[in-house]
Amino acid sequence: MRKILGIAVAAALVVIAGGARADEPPLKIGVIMTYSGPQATYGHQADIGIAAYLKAHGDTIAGRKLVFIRKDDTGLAPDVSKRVTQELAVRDKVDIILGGCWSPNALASAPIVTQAKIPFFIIVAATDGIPAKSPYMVRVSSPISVPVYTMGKWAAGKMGWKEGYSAVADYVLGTAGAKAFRKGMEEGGGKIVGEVRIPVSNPDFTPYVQRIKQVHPKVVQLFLPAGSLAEGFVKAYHDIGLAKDGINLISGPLSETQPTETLGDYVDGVYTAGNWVEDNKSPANQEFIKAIHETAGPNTPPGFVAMDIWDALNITRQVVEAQKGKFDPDKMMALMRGHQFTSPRGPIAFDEHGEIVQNIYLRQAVKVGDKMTMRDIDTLPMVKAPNLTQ
Amino acid sequence: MTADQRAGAPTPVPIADTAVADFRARARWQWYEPIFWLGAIAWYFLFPTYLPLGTQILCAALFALSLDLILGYGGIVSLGHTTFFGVGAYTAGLLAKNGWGEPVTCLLAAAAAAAIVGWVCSFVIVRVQGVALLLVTLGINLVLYEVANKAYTITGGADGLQGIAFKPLFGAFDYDIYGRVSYIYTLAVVFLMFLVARRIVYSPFGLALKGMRENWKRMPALGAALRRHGALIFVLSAAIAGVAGALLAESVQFVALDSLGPQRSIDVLTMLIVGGTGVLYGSFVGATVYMVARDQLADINPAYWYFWIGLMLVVVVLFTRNGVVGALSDLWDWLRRKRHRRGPA
Amino acid sequence: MLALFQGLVQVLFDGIAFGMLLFVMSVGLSITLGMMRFANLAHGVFAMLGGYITATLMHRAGLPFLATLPFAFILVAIGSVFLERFVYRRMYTAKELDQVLLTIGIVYMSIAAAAYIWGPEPVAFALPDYLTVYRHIGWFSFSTYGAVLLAFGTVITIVIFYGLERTRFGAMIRAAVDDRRVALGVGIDVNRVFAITFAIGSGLAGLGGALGINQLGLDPSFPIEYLVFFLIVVSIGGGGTVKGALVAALLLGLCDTAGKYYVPQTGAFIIYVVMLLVMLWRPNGLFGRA
Repeated sequence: MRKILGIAVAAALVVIAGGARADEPPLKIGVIMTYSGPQATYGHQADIGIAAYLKAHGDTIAGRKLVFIRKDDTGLAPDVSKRVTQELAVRDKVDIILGGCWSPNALASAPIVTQAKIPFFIIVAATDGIPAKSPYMVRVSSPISVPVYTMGKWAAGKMGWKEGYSAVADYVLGTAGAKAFRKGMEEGGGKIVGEVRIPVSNPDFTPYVQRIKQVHPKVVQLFLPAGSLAEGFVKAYHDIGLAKDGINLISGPLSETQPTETLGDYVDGVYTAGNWVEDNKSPANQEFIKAIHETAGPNTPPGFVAMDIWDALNITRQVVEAQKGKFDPDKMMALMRGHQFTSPRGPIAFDEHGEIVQNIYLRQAVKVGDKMTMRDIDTLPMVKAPNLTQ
Repeated sequence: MTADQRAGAPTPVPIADTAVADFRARARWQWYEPIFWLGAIAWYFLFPTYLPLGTQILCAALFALSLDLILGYGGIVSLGHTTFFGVGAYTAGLLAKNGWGEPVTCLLAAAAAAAIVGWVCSFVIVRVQGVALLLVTLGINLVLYEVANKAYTITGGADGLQGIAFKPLFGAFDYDIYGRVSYIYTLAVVFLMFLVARRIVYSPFGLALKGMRENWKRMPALGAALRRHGALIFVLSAAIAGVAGALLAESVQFVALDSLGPQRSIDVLTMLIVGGTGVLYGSFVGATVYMVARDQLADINPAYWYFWIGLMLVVVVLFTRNGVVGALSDLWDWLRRKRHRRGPA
Repeated sequence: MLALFQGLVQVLFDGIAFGMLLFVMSVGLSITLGMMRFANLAHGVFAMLGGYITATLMHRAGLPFLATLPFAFILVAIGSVFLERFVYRRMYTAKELDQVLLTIGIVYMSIAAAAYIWGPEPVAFALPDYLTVYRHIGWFSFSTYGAVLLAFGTVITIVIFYGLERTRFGAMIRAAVDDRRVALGVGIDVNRVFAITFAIGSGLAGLGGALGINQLGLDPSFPIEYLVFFLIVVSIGGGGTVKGALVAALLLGLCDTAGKYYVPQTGAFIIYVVMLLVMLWRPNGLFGRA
């Protein structure tokens, strides 16, 4: 009799314990990135970020297992993006989405996440104003205006370069970049003496750089997509000898990784303004880089997409742990807006629209010995996105 | 009575009569057609969480159908048909953005705008053939894409057209997160457009088109006004493509450059080749196969989508006569012949 | 006034150099289109392959850039032989649309394969300094790289013209382009001539791709990105003629460079408009025939 009771109690305990664990539903995270086509590198980088996070922090948050559901947005395609957001919301019933690889994609998804109350982290898109479209959207990537406006103000104010020239990509983001730079320059006491729009499908930069040489401004703002385009321009800038002429070049990110690695000597003397010094020695950054090297190999450079994913997941972890595993979307948004978080790039926070607030670092490429390195020049703390009323 | 007739030989039937009877037979609704449309309705009930996919398949199928009208029936190969899809999408989008959000009239406006652009292009299109035609159509698409990219104060450029808000359908049915209203609305419009296309194809005009496709050089000898026919079908096709674009804009409530992009032109050609050209349902089959395959493969391994679709294209071109529909109909014929052979020895 | 003249010379130099690059990459496509009437949209795949061969040999085997070029030519040429024999040969009499879609399918498969082998990221590539440094003759500054392109282009052009006009094989090529059936009739093995011509043309594309990485970049979607350029060269020049391809490539290079220098707002636009205008005026290209 006691034996049977003992077994019954044991069985009951097992059921309760098992049931208790079954009560902890997994935390479903939808990931909408570009996984196919020419821009598949974004999805690839996102996966690297996810793997790094899992290595560093494991696959549970507050006892809940993390389940990732990946969807391909196929590139700049708001129709596909909206559809997969809908599917993640109604079919997979995800709790959080990491996405926004392209501005139209993020914008098309906004009404869905508002209706379904799903917190949405914007990972890549840079057009100003997107997070304001939904109370459930926050951006962990950088809006264009922030580094560009900052560099304009710094160039004219701190460095005293009063004549600026904008070389921007010929599409709507480039225009926004030129506008933000102009605003910054003018607030710093300078002015814009010329502007050129470079088509994004351009193979050859020589004509544009030759033109700039003739106009002879004190500083050129470069705003081209990081990668072969920005690098191509810098090469032409170097080859045609503008730096020797006293024309400075300042730009946002030039490459997916360190420009000193991809461009070598070409990048000598170029200034960059960005939200992240990839090799900074802060503990948060070192932890991130270590996780990347452990999962993707020691030669994999840590990229900004992976870092944005890392930040989004870490913020999620802290916010969900603060709610003791209970996930409430509205509470989550309130918690995110009210706190400062530590990112590999430095401290970050979110303003009332969900827009990121972060440090901007100004650096210059200089030759130390026989190696090209980036030297820190200045840091502007916790820069909020400027109000660029159209 | 002729000597032959008295001898009991079968009365020869004039060729024209058999051709007409043949044509009439094909123009009648085949057994599989109601099955297809009932299936599309059943999708609504069977797959309630897949409605946005269904809506997008229907839009793609309508676009492919419009391309088939000029390509499969008219013999005009276009590498840039997205021009008209995009014109339709942006027309609907711009109207909605600037206050006029009534969905059905936006469709009509989109069709009209696309038709006008199609009419302008048709002057050039009907005067060129072969590789030159491919390049002219592609060139027009690329130029329009660049224009839309540059005119970002109007089109929003790479950021897309924001602030689009279509009013509820007929003032009563609002767009929901499941995409229910969108699906029914899109299905209804696509069905209507299909009927229009069907009417065109099985009409004397459609016959003339077929002749045009088969032998461009010979038709004037038979009295058909080639260029006028070519222009007319081109305009009709452009209008339908515009409707497809507007439908997509209405269901997504957002329009971006991909609606004008050359990539979409190649995608729709792929759908059509995979499904089968010159047969009305080829566009539906092709669109379904393409989009479902992409959706499923994307869940497994999205990065290598291009490999599989490339392989599909190569296999279809090398080994099938006319895509899936062609393969199915060949299979059907082969089965029928086997049955015949097994009949009276 | 002097500045205007200097600018003009600069544009001429850069434009012709770019045009030479386009010519080397596209001449193969022009000949194969003229000879077999085969619309090979996968031509860019050969250029991409040449680029990747060069990049791989430089990064893995440490070969200097110039030494990798023969490999780019030969390996791509050999590879193209297999493609021609096992896939393309069946399609010479197929409909245009089928040819277009078959070759697009091959492009897609190549893009995926390249992404799988070399990764989706653009190739980090740097030419040695002595090849990219800007040299000066008086007021005129030019890049060594541009001079290299000009040199290669000129040599290749001379070799091709000599080959076509003075050798027996060249005569066979010209015969096959002129009238395939008659050429067969006089006993020329057109299939073999075509296979060899195709291999040479593809090898040249590979060489062009390798030469062009510095300027055009290299990533798996190269064949699609630059397809338009090749098509424009071939359509403006007219299929089947080397002269046509040369003129068209130079014209394109000049228009593109001049456009970007003098009217930067229009950029890429200009070449599309030029193509449309030429197509409307001479649908068979400037030097082609119906």
